[in-house]
Amino acid sequence: MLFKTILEIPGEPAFTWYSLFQLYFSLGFAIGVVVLGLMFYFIYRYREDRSTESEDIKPGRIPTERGNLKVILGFLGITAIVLYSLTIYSIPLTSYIEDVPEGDDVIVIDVIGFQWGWRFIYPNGTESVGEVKVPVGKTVVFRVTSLDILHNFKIRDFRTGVDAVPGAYTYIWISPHEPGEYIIQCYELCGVGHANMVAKLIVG
Amino acid sequence: MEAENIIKMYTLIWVLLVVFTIVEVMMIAMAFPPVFILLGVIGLASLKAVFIALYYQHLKYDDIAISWFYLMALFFAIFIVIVFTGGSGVWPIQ
Amino acid sequence: MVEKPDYYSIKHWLTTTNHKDIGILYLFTSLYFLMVGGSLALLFRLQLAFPWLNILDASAYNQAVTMHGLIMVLWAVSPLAFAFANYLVPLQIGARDLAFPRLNALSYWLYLFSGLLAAVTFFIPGGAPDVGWTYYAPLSTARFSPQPGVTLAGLALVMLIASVTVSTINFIVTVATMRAPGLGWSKIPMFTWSILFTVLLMLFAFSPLAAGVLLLAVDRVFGTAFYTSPEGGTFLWGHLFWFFGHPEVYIVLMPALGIIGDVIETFTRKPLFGRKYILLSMAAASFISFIVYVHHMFNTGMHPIVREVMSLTTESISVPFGIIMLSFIFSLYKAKIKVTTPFLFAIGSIFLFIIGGITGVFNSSIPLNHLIRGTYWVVAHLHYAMVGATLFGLLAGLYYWYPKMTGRMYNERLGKIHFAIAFIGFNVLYLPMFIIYDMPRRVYTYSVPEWIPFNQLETLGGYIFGISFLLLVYNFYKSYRVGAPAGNNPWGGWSLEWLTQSPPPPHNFDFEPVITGDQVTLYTNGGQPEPHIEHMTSLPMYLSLGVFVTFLGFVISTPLFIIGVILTLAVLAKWMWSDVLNKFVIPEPVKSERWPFENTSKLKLGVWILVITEAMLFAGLIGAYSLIRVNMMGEWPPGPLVHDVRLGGINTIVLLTSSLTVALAVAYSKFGNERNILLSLLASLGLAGLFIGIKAIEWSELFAEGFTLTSSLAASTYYVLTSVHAAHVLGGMIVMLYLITKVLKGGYKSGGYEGVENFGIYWHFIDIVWIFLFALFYLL
Ligand code: HEM
Ligand SMILES: [Cu+2]
Ligand SMILES: [Cu+2]
Repeated sequence: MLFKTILEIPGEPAFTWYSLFQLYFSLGFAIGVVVLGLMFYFIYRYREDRSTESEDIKPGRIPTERGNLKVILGFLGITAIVLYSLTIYSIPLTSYIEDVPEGDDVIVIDVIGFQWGWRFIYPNGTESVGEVKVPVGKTVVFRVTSLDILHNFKIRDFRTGVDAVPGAYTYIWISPHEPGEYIIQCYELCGVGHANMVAKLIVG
Repeated sequence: MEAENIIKMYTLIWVLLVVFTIVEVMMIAMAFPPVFILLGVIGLASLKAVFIALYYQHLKYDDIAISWFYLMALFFAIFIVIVFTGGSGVWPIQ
Repeated sequence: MVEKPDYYSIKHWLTTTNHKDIGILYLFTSLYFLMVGGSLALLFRLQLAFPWLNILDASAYNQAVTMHGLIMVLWAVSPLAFAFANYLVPLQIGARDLAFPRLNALSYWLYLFSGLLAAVTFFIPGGAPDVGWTYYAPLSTARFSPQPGVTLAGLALVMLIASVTVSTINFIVTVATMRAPGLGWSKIPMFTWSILFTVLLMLFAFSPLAAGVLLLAVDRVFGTAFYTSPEGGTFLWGHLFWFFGHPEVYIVLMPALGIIGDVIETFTRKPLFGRKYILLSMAAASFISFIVYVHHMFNTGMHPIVREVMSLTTESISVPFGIIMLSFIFSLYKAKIKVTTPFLFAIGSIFLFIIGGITGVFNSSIPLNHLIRGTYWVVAHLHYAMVGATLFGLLAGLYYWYPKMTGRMYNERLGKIHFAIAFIGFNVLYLPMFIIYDMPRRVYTYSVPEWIPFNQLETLGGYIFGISFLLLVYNFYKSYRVGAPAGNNPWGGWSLEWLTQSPPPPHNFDFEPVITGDQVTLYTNGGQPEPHIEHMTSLPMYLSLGVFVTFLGFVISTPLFIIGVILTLAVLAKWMWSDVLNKFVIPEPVKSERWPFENTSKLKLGVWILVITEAMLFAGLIGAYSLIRVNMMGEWPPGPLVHDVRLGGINTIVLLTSSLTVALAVAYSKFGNERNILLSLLASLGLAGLFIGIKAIEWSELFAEGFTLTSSLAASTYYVLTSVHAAHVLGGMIVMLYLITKVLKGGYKSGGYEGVENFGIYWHFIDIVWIFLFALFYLL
């Protein structure tokens, strides 16, 4: 669903993700409303029957230039400021989400995607397919790779995911606060089994 | 230009191209450091390409706009090589 | 007087080269593919509404989604824009036709047959491709998708790329060199400008895709491992595909923006607000669109700097689009707006584009993208941009120019109702996708109960949207028979297409439009229209058919393949022969406005554009080389260890010498020295043959040493790149034979030896490519 209440968010990095999403959403929504509102107002105000303007388009007559550079530069300034500040704001968050946490209480679990399922290898060497158990309150790093083709390892409730690339490792981490069962799913088309390429993430 | 001169110029360019090629091949035979060879070979190849483009393909004498197209393609080619190599695989974190 | 062609004869439509006829052909064909793609969508939407019913199983669903995407992007929406481009660009710039009418027919027939080739995959064993329209490798390689449909659709793509390349050449040359006297760049209507940007994007975007598809085909057919080994693999495909893929979405969008510009200008009765700046922004967006594509690979774990830079450039592309949209909106300010159907569609398009654009900004944030990649958020975004902005814009154009094309008015009320239903249906279809945006895309079933009602709503919207098109069909069909006569200029538009009859005569204008200042003057030549020669020819159709049969046979049956090859070669020979005899000559326009190409003939410019597409093909291939080589590091053997550098050097000199002889042929052609031209060409032919011969020796030696096509990725790269180059050399040799024949037959008696000069440009380019291949493979 579009938004979740704080209580429904099971842990990081979903909190960060939602706060960023809300920032984008509110700005985007506001800008959209203003711009489209302006458009509808103009259409309403300058309709043929209400407008007192002259008709300047004439057959066989190249239209003259209209508008001035200042207004255009204004458009440029506003869009550039909004967009660049959003991107620059995103940059530290990128490293927050992508940098692999280190420390004694970080658990690193290997994930191997294959057609069609997920195999997990715990630090102590035990393996499981289709299900992974992690403790509450610890940071868990998933070291993801693929056996065959490109998959996408996504834990949607934690708002994070990364490609599973054959022959290479990619990383994501979560730090769950809420015990429960969450869905891990493949988000990159990988053949007929793709829709059912799910696994369970059990926190608790 | 006179017929004679054009033919002379084309032949001169050809001599240059051949010489550059021979220099390229000789560079390999000598034990230069790899970076030197890389730069030297690419540099000489580019020089050859520029000569061919300017004189054999007449870019020098044609509408300048054609060169814009060529430069654009060159830009994208360099861009492709840089991004393809820079993003050639997963960035090793650990 | 020019005779009016018989529009009811099938022969006319198979052989026409008139740009308006080709436009109509494009229109009907693209609408047909729109219907096919749309039906596929309605089919799989049904499955998504009732996921438990298994109306489609996983494989059928994946086939439907894949073909829907491929057909819509490549064979429906973009060609629909080219229907307008064909019909209107010559009219808008006051030309009689496109620069190369026969090649234009070839574009169309290649397009049609490539679409049919893609559609045929449904009926061959193994079915249509089911790997997604993005054709991601390694899924699309033979190991994971062995069915022949994947290869066949790839070949269809190659055919389409050929069609697009030919169109690109045609449109760039036309707009650059055939504008009416006085029609400077600043006076060209928005739509023609937008087509110019579109073809410029095509020029640089499509050939690297050809490189990607070529490598895929080699993988699938000859068992190389470009995409199955991690050193190439998914990254290689991702780069090659998205370097094309991102510009492609602007290729799809750009014409719609042009149409909106024209429509807004006409119905606000005011000049566009900041027209110059809109054009500058379109130029900026076109350029930036090439340097953002990594935003489709944010989840791959690629080097963070590459991704951050591309995140910034992606946000940057929204700046020019912001300017364009705000300028469109401010064009409504102090206007006198006539609310007609085209105007409504244009406004609808702006509305939906703004939503599409804003949601695109979300995608380009790397942290947000870690969720968004692969979800319905992307699906919603791309449909707001591609269907909402683009298709609505194109529909605006369809209503806007319907009176021009048919001479009759459509029913305005029905048109408005169509808009209302389509707009509502569209939003019911795509808005809910933003609410359940974390649902994965391209799944045929799902087990989250909350998603079901939204999916059902979306499906409902889809059917409303689809069915609304029946109104359009009914309206246009009815109006074509009983609609009120439209007259030349029903909307009071300013541009040249509105000054001629509706529908325009085959030669477009009964007068010569000349522009002085901001005023168009029509010189009538005492009532005598300039003679316009219709060149009817079936060669383009047969050539495309030949390629179609060849490709189909290649995949499903060898005898068919042989028939196809024979047909293709026969038609090519016939075509060349008719050119040797100068059967088809279009005079250079005498008085046209052609800055900045005053000294470049149409043909020469065309050859140059072709060279640029070839350059981009090799740029893609060399990009693949560098990616693989960097990934292989020490495993890639240095060139001198594998190759005989001295033999390679000698071969390089052979090719350089052939360039010299071609240059000499050009020089002699300037002075009309026919004997020396022939001698130089013969020498070049011999040298080219020698080059190929030495190459054959090298290859056989390498093979003997165990350095074979599949022995290593380095070897595969070497063989593929050098054989693509060798194929160009062989092609060049065929052209040399053609030139020699033509000189012998006296084909150049009348004018200069233009063909020789233009061939030279191409031949030297092949030489340049070899210089780099020699350096990259032998020396480094
Ligand atoms: C104006 C600003 C735009 C921005 C910032 C933008 C940004 C993006 C980004 C970042 C993605 C990648 C999403 C992902 O897969 O994770 C994307 C996907 C896409 N966009 Fe846009 N976009 C914009 C406009 C457009 C337009 C105008 C079109 C088409 C007319 C378009 C068509 C698409 C398509 C087709 C995809 C999905 C490709 C696929 O994975 O199948 N976008 N866009
Ligand atoms: Cu999958
Ligand atoms: Cu993109």
